[in-house]
Amino acid sequence: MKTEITIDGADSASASYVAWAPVHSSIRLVEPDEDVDFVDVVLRNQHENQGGQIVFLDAIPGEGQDRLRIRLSADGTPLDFFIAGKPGRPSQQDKDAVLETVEADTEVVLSTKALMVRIRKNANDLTAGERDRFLSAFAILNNQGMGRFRDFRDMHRDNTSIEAHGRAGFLPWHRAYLLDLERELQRIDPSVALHYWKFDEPAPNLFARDFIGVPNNLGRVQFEPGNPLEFWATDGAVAGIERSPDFDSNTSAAFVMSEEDTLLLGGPDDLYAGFIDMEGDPHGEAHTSFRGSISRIDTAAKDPLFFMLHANVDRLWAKWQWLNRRFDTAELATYPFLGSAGDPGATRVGHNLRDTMWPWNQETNSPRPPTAPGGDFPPSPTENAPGLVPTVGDMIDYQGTIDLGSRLGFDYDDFLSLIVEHRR
Amino acid sequence: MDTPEHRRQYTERIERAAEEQREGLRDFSDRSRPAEERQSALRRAVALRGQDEVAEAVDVILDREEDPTLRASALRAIGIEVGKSHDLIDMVIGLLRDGDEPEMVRQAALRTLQQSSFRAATFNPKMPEYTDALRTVIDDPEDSLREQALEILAQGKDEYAQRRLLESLEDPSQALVSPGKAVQLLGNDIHADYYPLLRDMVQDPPSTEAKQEAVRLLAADPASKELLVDILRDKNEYREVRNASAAALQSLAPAEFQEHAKQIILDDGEYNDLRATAIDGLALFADQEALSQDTELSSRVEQLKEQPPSDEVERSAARYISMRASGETGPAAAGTNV
Amino acid sequence: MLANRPLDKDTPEETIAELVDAVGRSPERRDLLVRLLPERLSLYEGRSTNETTRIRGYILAAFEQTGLPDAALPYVLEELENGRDAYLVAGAAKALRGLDSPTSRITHFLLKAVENVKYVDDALTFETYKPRWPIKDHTTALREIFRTFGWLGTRARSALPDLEALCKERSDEFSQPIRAEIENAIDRIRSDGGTAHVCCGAVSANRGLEIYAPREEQRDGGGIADIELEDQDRNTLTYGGFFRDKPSIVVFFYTRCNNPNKCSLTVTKLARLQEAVADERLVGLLKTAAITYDPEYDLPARLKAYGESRGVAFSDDDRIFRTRTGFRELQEYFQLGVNFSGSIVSRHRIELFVLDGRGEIVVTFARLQWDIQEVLEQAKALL
Repeated sequence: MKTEITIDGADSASASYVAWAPVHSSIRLVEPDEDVDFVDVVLRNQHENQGGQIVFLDAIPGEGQDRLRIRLSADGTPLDFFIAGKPGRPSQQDKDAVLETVEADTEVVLSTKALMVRIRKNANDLTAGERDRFLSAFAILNNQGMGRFRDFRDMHRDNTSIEAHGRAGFLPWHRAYLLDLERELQRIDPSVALHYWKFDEPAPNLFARDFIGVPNNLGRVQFEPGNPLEFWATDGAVAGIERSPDFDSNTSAAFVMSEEDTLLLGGPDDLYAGFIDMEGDPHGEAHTSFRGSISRIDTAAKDPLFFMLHANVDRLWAKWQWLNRRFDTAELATYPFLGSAGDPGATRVGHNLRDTMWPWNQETNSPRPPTAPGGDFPPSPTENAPGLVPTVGDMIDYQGTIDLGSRLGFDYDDFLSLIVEHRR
Repeated sequence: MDTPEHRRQYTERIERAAEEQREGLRDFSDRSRPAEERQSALRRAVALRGQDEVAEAVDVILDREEDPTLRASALRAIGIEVGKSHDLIDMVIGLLRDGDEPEMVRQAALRTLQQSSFRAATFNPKMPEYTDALRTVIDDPEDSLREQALEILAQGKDEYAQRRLLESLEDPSQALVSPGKAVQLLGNDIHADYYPLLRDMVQDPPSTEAKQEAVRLLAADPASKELLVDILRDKNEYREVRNASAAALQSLAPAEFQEHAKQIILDDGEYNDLRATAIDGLALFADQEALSQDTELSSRVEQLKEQPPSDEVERSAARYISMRASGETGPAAAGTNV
Repeated sequence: MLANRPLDKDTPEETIAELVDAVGRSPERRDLLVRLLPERLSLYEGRSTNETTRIRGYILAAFEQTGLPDAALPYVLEELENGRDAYLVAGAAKALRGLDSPTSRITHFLLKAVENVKYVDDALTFETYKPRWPIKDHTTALREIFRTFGWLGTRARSALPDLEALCKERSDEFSQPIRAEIENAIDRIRSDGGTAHVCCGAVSANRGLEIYAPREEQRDGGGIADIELEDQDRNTLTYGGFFRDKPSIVVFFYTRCNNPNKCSLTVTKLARLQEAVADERLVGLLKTAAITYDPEYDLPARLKAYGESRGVAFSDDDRIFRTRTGFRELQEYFQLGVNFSGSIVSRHRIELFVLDGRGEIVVTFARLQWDIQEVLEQAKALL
């Protein structure tokens, strides 16, 4: 007798990645013992003291539990339930969160399923293994300037800047950009997430030769021999990275406002229209706390740190959304331009809720740029959203708080799923 | 920690920050306070965004009688608003240009303009004026401002900045920055036509760092392939320079790199950091089919993992082996699980 | 004595500038300036991109004073349609003001130039060659473009809706001085009581696009048949081994090109042309190819990555090549509009060639953006 579990309708290893947001699952009995109409089973974590941990919910809304007892019919009828990563217990290695099904009375193990609670973490706190996998995946994506990374570099240039900067769509566009990159990294190594640089705190482990590098006197970033970023190249074999901080990266934060001050930018009514000023500070200040490529829009994407900087920008937006419950795209407070370009009161194309976003929409007629690098938005083995041609609005409800189907498949380590929290 | 408790505690932090901002704003607006107190108030206020607050700050910024530190702080405090207003951008560009303004104020102006440039929708139309000002600052007596302006322009492949940098390399009496920095800045543009200068610098370097820089940038010059190979194989060369040549050669001529990387790995007399770099280069980027048939190399890498001469070699060897085991470049086992 | 000094790759750029100034004072010699424009001249050999840009921009700007000969027009329109260097675009906009017979057909190019340059505009001057900062008064590419609109007067009437949109709905994309230039242009266009002169000059003939039959020296392709090519999958074959039996469409490019309107768009359009070939059920009847100007750097892996990310489909009939030998011979045969500083491309034009089943040039499309259907029709005519 054994049980069979599917996660979000899939049984494949590539689909076995969860974050904080609940994921629909199902379980059924296979090859039951004879003369039995039903079997009581318990779902639980195999190793409670190591690895990532899962919580179980029998319904949404509901409360996540460390164990879930359910009754399975001997005729194999599947039973639905939900799983989510346990807050505060993300994985550190691939498939270290092992879900175990045991017979309730005998504790005989009926099946196991290895998952990963894959979370974007503070880069300063990564284990050596997490760091090395992240760097390897990044270096392979770059492939010395020849890899798919080149498209990400080409998406973020002077002549494309207006698609993503200076207007309301700044945050959704960059959320899509980062997610695109993260999914490409995960095609190389599915255990990798796009970790963030928390720029309002010192990050000595990040600014080290075994991670994002340390500059010499000329501002050329030096790496420890064997660091995959040694081979980093962009722009036609311009090998290496130029970056030197104007702050002491061992002991100080960048020249940015604090996280708390950032979350206050929305004003007394916590409006997106005010919060978007974070593009200037802390975002612009984080960029310009350095000399080097990262200090200009046109050259910033040459530096891998840029993506970790923006992961923090996105985390701040996500946290502001969590704090103020800003996931409903019907609310102006969530996003101020509800329609499409050309509607009364609309803003520039690409920055309205229903607008598709360049380059994924492959639009190259003026006023869009003449080419659209990268093609469609990459699909994910674990999520259906945001689809091949995302809109601005598709990037807002990233945890599936309003609509589970909107879930984008990423979460941050320092705060929780609104669903898990909100619907208790 | 229960989630409602987490939310409650976090909300309290936010409210404390809000109170601090209100106090800071109030104290800054009090003109009777001394400059130091108003400056401290600005730090607590964090950012000035209301119309009246910004106007108050502009008065301070433009008041040449006022304490320069306070003026600079006020300028930074309106940074967000500068990025939204052409008038404010013009004001700040004026401060940057003005050699009679205190350096501190001009530095603050430059930082604020760079930060504002990320708000492209507003800033892009002012780019000609900003660039014009930066070019003027290239000859500024203030070293730091001059270098920063040159860097910003060079990153943008500015023709005038490149011209001045090339002149400075040809005639050291016109030096604006060190030769190593000059070539690095020129290296932002592969079309900058400085490859003969780079080759000269490799032969006669003003410093190891300058040589390392020149070697790295020769990755864009196919005519320098043999030079890069010579550097890579020269055991008398500085290790940092050899490492730079490894990266450059791998980019420019992967087949040549792979051939020499193997020799380096097999050579127990080689430096460990170079061997680590060589192993990684092969692990991540080499022709995997060719590698899989090279049993001599695989055996040596296994041996280096089992009996590592250094931590870096062990890590690189472990990565090489795990990637070979998964059978393709960049598989799930791309990293080591430590 | 203007034309007596031989100009070559060793001529200091300042000397060339002096010649341009001298022609400015003797405008009847303006054809001399036209002869300095082809990219492939030995004049530009070994010169950096910046130096080449300075020389060409200064020449273009001089046409405002000397008058703009028809033969120079393709160079001007090319810069407006595709250029992203503010100095060159400004020079081109000024050059148009030297036209003897202005026409409304250039408004399309001016509008395109606005879009190309508005995020990369720059402070510049043509008052002196190779100026040193600080400069007293600068102009910008956008300023010159809108001044040319104003100069066109009633001939730019067709552009009024676009100009008014720039002033109103899109006014935040421009600084106040540039908005003033746009408004000034609109006023001049509206107040010009002249008649719009629609059909005149070289522009009406072929939009400034150079479409031409092969020159005498291009008629015999036999000399290049043995040139060795390597494709994106490292297969090697000769020029004659690939370009035979079927008509071919071939473009030139290089992966290190930094103008997205040129190489990146060219290869992207090649992919779209491949789709059009499939739509018209011509697969197997035509070949498509791209050849790099930069064979030593553009190794097969780079070629493949570049093509794939732009949607190029690869097959026996559809490939991207570098030359292993004989690039110079290829360059000569195709009369490629390219020059180099060392191995780095310093300047090139957009160019596409339709070849017959013997690999010989039938038609060249040069300088302006080629139309996919137009190219396909030319190739189909050879079937």
